[in-house]
Amino acid sequence: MRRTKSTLMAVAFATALLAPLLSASPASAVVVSGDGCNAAAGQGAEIGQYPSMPSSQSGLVISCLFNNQPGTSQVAASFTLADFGNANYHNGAARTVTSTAIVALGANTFTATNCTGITGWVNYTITADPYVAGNGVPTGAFVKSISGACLVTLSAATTAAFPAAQKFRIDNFQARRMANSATAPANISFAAAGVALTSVLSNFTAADIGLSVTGTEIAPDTTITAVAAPVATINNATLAASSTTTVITFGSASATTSTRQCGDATNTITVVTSAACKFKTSDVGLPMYNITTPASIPANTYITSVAGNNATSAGAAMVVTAAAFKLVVGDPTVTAPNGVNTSDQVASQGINLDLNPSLVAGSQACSAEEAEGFAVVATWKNPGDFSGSAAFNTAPAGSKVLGQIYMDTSAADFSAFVVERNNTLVPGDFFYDVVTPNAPTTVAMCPGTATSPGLGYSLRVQAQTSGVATLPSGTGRPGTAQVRNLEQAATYGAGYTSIATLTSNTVGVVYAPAGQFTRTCIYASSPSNASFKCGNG
Amino acid sequence: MRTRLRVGLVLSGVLLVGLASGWSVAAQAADETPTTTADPLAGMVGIGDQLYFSGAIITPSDGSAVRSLSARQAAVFVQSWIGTAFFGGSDIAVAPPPDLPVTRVDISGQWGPGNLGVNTVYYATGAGQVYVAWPQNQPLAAAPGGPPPPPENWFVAPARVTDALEGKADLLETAGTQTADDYLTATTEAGPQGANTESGEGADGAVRVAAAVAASGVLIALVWRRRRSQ
Repeated sequence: MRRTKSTLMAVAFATALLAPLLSASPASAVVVSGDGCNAAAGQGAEIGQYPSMPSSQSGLVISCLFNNQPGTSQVAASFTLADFGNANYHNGAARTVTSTAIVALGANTFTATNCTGITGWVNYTITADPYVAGNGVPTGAFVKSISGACLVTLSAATTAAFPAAQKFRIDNFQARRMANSATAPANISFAAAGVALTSVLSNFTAADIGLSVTGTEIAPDTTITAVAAPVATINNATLAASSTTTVITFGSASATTSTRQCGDATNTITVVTSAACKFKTSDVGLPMYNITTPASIPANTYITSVAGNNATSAGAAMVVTAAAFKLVVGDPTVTAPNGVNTSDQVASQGINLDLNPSLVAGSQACSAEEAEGFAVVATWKNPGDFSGSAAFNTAPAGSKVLGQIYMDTSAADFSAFVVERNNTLVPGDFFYDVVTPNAPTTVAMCPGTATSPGLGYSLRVQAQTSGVATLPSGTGRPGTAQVRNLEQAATYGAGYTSIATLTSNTVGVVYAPAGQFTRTCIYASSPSNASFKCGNG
Repeated sequence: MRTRLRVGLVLSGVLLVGLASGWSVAAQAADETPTTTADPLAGMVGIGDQLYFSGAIITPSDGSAVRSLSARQAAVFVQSWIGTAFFGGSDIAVAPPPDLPVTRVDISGQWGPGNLGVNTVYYATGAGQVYVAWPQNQPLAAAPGGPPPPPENWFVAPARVTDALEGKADLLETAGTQTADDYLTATTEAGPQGANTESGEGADGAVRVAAAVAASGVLIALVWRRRRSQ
């Protein structure tokens, strides 16, 4: 009995001693105090937005802390922020058309070389490409009609002549803006407390029913309910009569399909198939590009119809390819974050981490447990223009990617991507993720110890870029001159609760506790107080 | 009784040899031992941030012999400069003098999540300065030796890059090498492999030997106790 007990004890001891050594075990996610994106994790940590007001441009801030202790490290190279539910990123796409001949000063029309799929584009805003202020297309001009012979009729006469083969960009939505002035006091007119808006210039059509209507004299949450040109009827009585300073915008709150990249496309000679691209009828008329070599889509390929995951083209036959390719749908609009200046800053990133001095000269010794700080600025890259090494700049596969937030360091680059998802709450609307597929967080970071300083990561996405901010009011499609904005609360109802969550995509790293990586914003009903309740804290 | 003692000693010896050989096998696995055929990362060595390497081909510009790096040596080489490429600051963006010979290094492996292929890096050294170029917009090649991307994105790299290129350096332990094995273990059914660092291996091996000695002691004591009680 005594011998058996001794034997068992000895075996148990040996087993206990050896068990953890004979097989390696992966790191498991363990709750560690101090991880997270709120004040409980560390001073200044947050997921916030500024301002946090419905119907406003709004910047995003993610500032989170992650421990680097052995076995519990929450340092991940890949992570996703599911942005607040009512956040929008730059919306819309453009079709580039080219004039067949010189366009004279004062002309109301020009003929395009190709108008496949866009003869139904009525009341869509148009700008010259490249955009230069005052270069000949009046601010706020839109297309009144496009004939089958590709004769484009503008809402306003050109203010300068254009050479032959001049390019113009047309937005893929009928939002537009009417502005009165002392010399044009009746571009739009209405009485106080009325529901009829009269405007010959607005070129109202039945397609305008449902569009938002905004302006100083217009009540919140107003939309067009009926049209009998030149009169549009709205659902709320006006707050005042029109005047020479009246500016009314139609459709600025509406979302349409955006310029995007989808990595899962295949094709026949006439049809491109992509589940990720989520084709909609507003894609009809937009160009398609294959940016994977070899290119299977010839130039001047435009969508003529969509059905489910398929987009059909009536252009030259496409080359059938066996492998999936990267499809780009649409051209960038003039109000895209880099629509005016491709080097405009769109975001900035701050990183704190402890670097090995043998790998990065000038860093403190790892034994000092001292984090070094770095700041990087980012520019915006439109679909079709994504940049950087494959290792750190590959857009998420199978996703609908709207843009690249490109962190440009001196010798190597990495990125976050803005990915659009269908909104499960509001049909036709979208949710957005900011996905970092691979960041250089661990390759030169000192090994984790019990006293490692961990990783501090902060990304600030601007509400608007400086170049787009300088566009004259009314340039391009109304309501799109921003990187990021918040939708009207009415879309979601008073007291709408909006949540943003950061999750790890790195195997073996789970951000926990989940509540530390989530932020909730609750919007009060109008009128709203100025506050930073969804900001720091 | 003598037989039992002998059996105990033999068992202890087997345990010692087994553990010690397990250590060396684990060290070898970092370079060349694929553990499952389905695992695309089998045999590669990781340095963190989803970077795993299977080898490299070095092509000097002076016409001297082409040579290769093992998986581990390729990982050491990339580790030696990639941190500086990201965190070295704006002062490092310097191209080498045009008269310096440039060596082409085609590195095979996984360049970020799911990106299996080859990236080309350029190396030059002169006047005590080491230069590396990792062209950022090069496509991921299917195999080494293809059309070279233009050398661009040059920067001044740490001195240890030269030793790494010559296969004389070893992996430094980082947060990345600490977790590279975890990723493999979690994503495949393969056993631990990859970036066991030099110091990590040493420590791990020492612990294994200590454990083997302790376990042997326990077994010897057990047999000795049995012999005495009989």
